[in-house]
Amino acid sequence: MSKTVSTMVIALLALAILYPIGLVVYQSFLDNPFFQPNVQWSTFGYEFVFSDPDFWTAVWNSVQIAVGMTLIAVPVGGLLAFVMTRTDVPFRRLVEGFILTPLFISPMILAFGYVVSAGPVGIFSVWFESIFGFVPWYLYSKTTFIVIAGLTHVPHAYIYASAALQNLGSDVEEAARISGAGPARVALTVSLPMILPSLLFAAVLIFFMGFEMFGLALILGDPEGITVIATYLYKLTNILGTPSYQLMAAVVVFMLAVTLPLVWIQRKMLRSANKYISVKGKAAAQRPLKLGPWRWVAFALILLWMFVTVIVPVAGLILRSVLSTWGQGVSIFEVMTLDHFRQLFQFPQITRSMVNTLLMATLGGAAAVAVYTLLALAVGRKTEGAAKFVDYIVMLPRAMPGLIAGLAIFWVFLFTPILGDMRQTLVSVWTAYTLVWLAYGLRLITTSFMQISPDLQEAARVAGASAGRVSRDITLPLARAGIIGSWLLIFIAFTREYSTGVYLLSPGSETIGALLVSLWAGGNINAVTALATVNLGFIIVGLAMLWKFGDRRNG
Amino acid sequence: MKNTILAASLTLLAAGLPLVAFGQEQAILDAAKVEGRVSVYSALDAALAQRLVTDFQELHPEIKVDYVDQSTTEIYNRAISEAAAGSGTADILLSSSMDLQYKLMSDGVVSDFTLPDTTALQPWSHAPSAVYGFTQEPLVIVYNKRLVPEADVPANRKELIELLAKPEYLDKVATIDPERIGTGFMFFTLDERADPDNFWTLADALGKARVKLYTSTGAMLEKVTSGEHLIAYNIIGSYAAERAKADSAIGVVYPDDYINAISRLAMIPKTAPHPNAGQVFLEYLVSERAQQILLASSFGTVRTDLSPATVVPEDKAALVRPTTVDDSLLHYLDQSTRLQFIRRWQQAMKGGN
Repeated sequence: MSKTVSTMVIALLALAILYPIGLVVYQSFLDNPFFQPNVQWSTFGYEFVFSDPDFWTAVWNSVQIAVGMTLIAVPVGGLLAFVMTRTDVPFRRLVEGFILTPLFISPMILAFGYVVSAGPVGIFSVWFESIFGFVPWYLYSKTTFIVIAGLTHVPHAYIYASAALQNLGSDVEEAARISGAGPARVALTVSLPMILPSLLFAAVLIFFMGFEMFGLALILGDPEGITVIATYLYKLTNILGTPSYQLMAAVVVFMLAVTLPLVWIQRKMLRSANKYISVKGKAAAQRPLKLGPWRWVAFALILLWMFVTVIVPVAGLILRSVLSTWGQGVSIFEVMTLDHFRQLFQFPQITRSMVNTLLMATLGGAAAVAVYTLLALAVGRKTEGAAKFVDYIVMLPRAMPGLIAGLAIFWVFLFTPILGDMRQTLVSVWTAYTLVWLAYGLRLITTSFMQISPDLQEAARVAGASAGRVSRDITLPLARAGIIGSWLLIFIAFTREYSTGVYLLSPGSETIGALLVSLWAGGNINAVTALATVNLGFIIVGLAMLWKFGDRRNG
Repeated sequence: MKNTILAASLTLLAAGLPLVAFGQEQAILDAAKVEGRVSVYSALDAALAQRLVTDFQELHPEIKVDYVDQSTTEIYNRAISEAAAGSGTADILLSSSMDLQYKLMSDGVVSDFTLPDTTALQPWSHAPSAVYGFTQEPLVIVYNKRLVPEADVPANRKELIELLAKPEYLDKVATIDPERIGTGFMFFTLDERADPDNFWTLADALGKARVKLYTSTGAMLEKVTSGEHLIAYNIIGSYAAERAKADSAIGVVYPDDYINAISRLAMIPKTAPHPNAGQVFLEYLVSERAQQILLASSFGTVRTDLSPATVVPEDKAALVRPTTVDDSLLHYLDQSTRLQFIRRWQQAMKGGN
């Protein structure tokens, strides 16, 4: 890719990110919706929000949750990746197939599943109480919340850590092994420090996911009135009677402002982390570390993690989908019904939503990956300054709650004359999804690029190949498996994305995620659980395919 | 293809000319058929919406319905943004947020369409033009039949206040959060208007019982059925009654002091791309045919020629106070009035006084 093309690609990216964000910043300094006549400059939005004690409570809650879940998800994800890529833990292939499961389930559904199984009168809680006489957990406390959020975000850290570990030759680890270090010591002093850049990236990403978290907070936060920033925004739509954009925009600007120092810290830490990786292993056939009896301990811990993050909520959800009522004093067998599934067939939009979801996730996901790949190539060709700039801006869309990001992009399409025609098409939804998942996807691609030894690229350049030719004939073919792997992960992300697309959805373009949320809002929980169960069925099929595919990739 | 449509529409227009004698209605219907589709943006129960759309489709197969589910806030945001851009996607907006819908009308965002015949509609259910209610849904108290003893079930708000003082109801009561949910705010202001002397006593009692505040009616019903909560106040009666049909744990109380009722309001934005089809759909919504479907689904009716008008039992029907569609809906959209109410509410939630 030539320098000019790279510059153009990066300029386009900057436009796509900064245009909607600029609108939000502009809105935050106005006294009314920016599109209304005679709107005035004003700092009322900031004054109102910053002087509202509820805002600071929400910020404090969000910070605690984001920090707490990062502290849980990153170490657990890193260790899990180490165990899965480096050791002889039993049933590795089987476990690998299910590690990503928590990612597939929309947070709102997951949270509801927890209410049914582990809530105060949940199925597991009632069982536990009947056996032990008490329930040691309280689902709606902040601690439980942080633990659930942390454990369900483990796969995000796992993805980056395992990709980085696969890149890394195990010769350094083996050297440590031979010198007498046990597996734990190898993991903590050799492997994990070497993949620190990936772990740091995962930490920042997970922090943001925690900071803008909505679904979990909405369901688990209500009973104890725990508000986070995204649910606080709810209040701002209502407090002055009509939705007050200037207030919401001020909150979003606050959230954006938080990203900048974080990215700065991340870059600084990365630079010092990179210093220590001067000795890089050569990727050779890796021999798994023998854990001895500990392999069963590791396996049991993985099972426990899966039990808490997948089995508990999913069991609750599936069970609820075949019950007409539940809870304290109900004999489950007397209230079993298949009516909720029958009810599903009343909705013709169900099949439509499945087709749309598949379309968006496959084609849309592939197109997004193409964009991320192009970007990764462009950034790779640029100087340190450009890379720095890209580092700072890609995180911005992630820092906004999905609903607001979607609203801003809706405005961009609505008020930009040349884009008007595309507003009603899936192009606008796709743009929004691609932007919001940019940081996540771009990093997946660059990770797979890093797997390719620069020697090969340099050899080609020396032999006289142009920059474009190197990308086409060396980088892309070699990174193919990684790119396809990224596509599968983007597929998952797009499958359950919803809030970002709310304003951009046009008639007939509903997705399963959208349907679940609107059924929920309409109070139709019977249909929600049935549809979510059907959706899970699809996910299992998808996982099986992923598993098969993984087999072939390794073979 | 475009030419065929154009030719067809010209023919229809030409054919439509003599029909003027038959009244405007036929002309609108013909124009709607030429438009060929209607986009409905709506906050309504999905199952009910499906029944209505299917029935409409049967009646007017030439007009394809594009139905989009949105929240009340999303509908309002979309309406004002599209009005400002002068480029619309929605032909008809249905929302339970009566105040926001009425505000859209007073801001001149919606078309000043008048239904040709309103004689069969309740006078309170619509403005002189532009805004039409099409449901009548009481606000009720819901309780768990398994766990709340018969003697405890409150018949009205006075008894509810007494019940809230009992220790076994501490932390076990739920209601909609008026701070976060606009319709919830409206429910409580309706209460204040209905019984200004006792409303704040009730709010204080709710605060003392450490009421749990929710953003979703569905979640509250779910938690009452499971026993996590025992009682929920100000639940939309249509949802509660529908749920109670299949769920043996849900009990519904229609209070015997007064029963507030709300309507979902329908209107046509000025920017509607298919305004005639929008009018046909709106007429359909208040027609006897559609209103029968609404009645069968517990959503009530705004027609005077159908009975019973709501899910409320016959003996309490006289207690129902429908919310009138008029300027009073704007009262609490005034910022300082609204904040004043919210401050008092927050004080009540802190335990009263």
